[in-house]
Amino acid sequence: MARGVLKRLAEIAVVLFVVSVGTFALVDLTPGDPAITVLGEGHTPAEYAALREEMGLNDPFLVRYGSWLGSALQGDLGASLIPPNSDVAERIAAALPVSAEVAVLGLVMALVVSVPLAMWSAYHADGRVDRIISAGTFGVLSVPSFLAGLLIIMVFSNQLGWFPRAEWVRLGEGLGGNLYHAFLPALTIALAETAMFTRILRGDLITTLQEDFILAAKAKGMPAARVLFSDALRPSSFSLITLLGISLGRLIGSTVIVEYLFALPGMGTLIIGSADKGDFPMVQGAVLVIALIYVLANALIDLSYGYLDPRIRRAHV
Amino acid sequence: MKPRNTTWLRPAAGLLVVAALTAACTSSPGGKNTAAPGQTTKPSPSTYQVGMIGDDSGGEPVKGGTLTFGAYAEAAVLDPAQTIVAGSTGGLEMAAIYDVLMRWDSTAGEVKPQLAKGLEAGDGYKKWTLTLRDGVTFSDGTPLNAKAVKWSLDRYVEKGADEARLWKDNVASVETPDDSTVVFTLAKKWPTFAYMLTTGPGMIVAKSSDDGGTFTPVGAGAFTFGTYAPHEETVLNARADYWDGRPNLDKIRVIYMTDPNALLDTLRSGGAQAAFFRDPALIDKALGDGFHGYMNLVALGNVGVINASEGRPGADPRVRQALFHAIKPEVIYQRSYNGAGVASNEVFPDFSRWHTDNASLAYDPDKARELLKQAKADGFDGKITYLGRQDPSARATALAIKSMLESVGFQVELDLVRAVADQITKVAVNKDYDVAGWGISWREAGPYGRMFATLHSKGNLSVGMHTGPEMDALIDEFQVAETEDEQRAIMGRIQKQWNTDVPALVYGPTPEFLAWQKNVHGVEGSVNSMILLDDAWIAPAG
Repeated sequence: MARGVLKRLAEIAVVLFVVSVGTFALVDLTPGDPAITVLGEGHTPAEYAALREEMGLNDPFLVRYGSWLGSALQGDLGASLIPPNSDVAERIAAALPVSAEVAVLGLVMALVVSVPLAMWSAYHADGRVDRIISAGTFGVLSVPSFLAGLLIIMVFSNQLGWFPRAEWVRLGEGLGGNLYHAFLPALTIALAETAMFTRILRGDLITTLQEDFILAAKAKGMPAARVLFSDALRPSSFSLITLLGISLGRLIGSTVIVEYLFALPGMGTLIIGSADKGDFPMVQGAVLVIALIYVLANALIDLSYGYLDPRIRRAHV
Repeated sequence: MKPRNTTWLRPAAGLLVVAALTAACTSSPGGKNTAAPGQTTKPSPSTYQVGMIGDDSGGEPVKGGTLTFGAYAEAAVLDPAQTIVAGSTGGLEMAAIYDVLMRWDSTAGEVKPQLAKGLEAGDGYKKWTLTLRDGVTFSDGTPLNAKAVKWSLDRYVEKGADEARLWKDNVASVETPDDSTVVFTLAKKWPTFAYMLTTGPGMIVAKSSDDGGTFTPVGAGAFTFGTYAPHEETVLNARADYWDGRPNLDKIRVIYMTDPNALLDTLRSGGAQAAFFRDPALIDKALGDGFHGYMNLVALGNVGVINASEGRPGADPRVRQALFHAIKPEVIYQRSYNGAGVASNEVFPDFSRWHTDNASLAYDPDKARELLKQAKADGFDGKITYLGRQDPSARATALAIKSMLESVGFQVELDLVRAVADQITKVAVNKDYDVAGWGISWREAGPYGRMFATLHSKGNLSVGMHTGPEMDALIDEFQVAETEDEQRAIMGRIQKQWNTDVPALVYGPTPEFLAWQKNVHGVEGSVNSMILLDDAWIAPAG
């Protein structure tokens, strides 16, 4: 068990190292000069050269990467290159909860809707309702998130006026206000996830419902709800759980469109804004944190398989 | 039992949903359909005037409340010595924190004392005496006296601020004979010197701002800096010991949104009481919605600068003139902003107090072809590179220019860059362009500073445009002109010189509209699209 954990930790370290080198190289190759961002249009060549030197932009790639990595290993992700030169860790600490909250809320909403839908659909496979659900999920999956977001804004904010279009209220300022402002972005995320979860779970449930132990349970006269919840759901959840882990990591870093539409101060906004200005310590730190969350979430998902299926747990012992 | 074939149902549902959503979303990205009766209507061109829009009579001021303002862009550094001092770059926050020694009264059209008690000219406009009010303090409790003013001005110049070079070249000395007097001795006559104290130099920073090596905004304004959350908000708190009494508002909350459509929606829904817009299409919508506000039009805000450096096509004046004759600004505004805004190729169009009867070069494709033919006969290959941004309106502008120039015989290659920093690097640092989308931005209230910086041969923002002794002389003449009539006459001659030199293609002025709800009162407009909120108040709803 301990060896397995150590092996997994080593894998995580390798992934993070590769991600950090790759990100550093990509940011370095991206057009844009932070010195220009700081100086603006009116400056002398001497001022420009001095600032580049001061910011360490003239150092070779490996020197800059080595310096960053050394600090990062000691928990110091550095400071932004752009005034007011905020601490990278502080900026991430402010942005991460926003993205994480919207992503988690979106996933919870998706699960709450998709699990009953998938169960109904699978239990009445090829029935009228199943076909409507299948067509609906297919339709929702065809809609890009920016279009879904715009439609949600038009209906719930502009036409009905039930929810605000933008603005963010932090959790510390009150749970009610926070959830009220987070609802539309979470709903935008939930739409596509619901469709995906429903389709995945429905497929797995249909397979499980054809297993002998389910047929035996049915033959004993057990109610449909009990068969579905007690016997069929757990063994059918592998794909869903895997997808859930991937989605959580993906959503935290990639809800740029949702964050843009709803003016959320999350990780997507932070990364895009920083990349635009050539603020590589900020991009580097943010990507590293997202990568860390991603691999940890997937490691947890791997561990959860053991609890879903005792055969896997026994295989690791 | 015959299996039912339902494979058509899923793709059909998908297509149906996409089609329905696309149709629904084509009304407007902001949400409301602008064509809906009784809602947004297209403003008349006469609305595009510098000054206040809407009736401000709201009765007795009400104390309390928070004014939420949607900024045009996030201002991370509120130091007037380190950023451009304008409404689009944190000017509202800085004016609230530092106040301004003098302010531009947009209604009266003149400069008036604000934080200062008075400013008197002497020695034929070569000496200016600033008198300070008694008992004014910074929010840290230290006195705002003559020495504090001098320290702040020295700091402004030392840090190489936006107008530092102009200040350095013109202000020979700053003396402080007593605590409430500052005497400026100028290198030459400058009748409009007072404008300098309405912007960055007029925002006096307290010494304690630089304590501890990290800048903290401390000033003598009506509000103090509260908190700053990146990408979210800056909060300013009312100051009880402001020299003119505690402001009516308790707080100002400046919020940041990357999507200006979201900002307009937030203003419409009441999530913000005020907001800053520069996109002509959105300004049209805000005006159509009936918001009150302060409108500013920045002359030469939307231009294509022509690189006249040696070896560039623009070094030949015939090529520059051919380019100008080939461009019809209305086409650009139609393509980029659905016809909203003010399209004009004049330096100062007729909205401006600097407008004269001296017209710009006309749109004349035949003349453009003729001039291009002459240049080609002397070896020019007709190839031009146009540098622009990749955002939708800049891209549409670039495509419109390409089509107009190619219709008269130019071969145009587009070089569209992603970020502002890339554009600045190519245009201002490396001067690696032939024609580039840009903003020269001559300000309506006091245009001299930008005129000097952008078109004078000693200016630091000419970015490769043609400069010459004739234009230098006119700009110098403008600086020493004593009356507005004299200045306007010189501006007319500058337009004529522009027609000869053609330093840039002119598409139109940039509108800047600070819109606010009808229950917001007491806002004062100032230079560079800044507003002062020390007397602002919000009337209760209903």
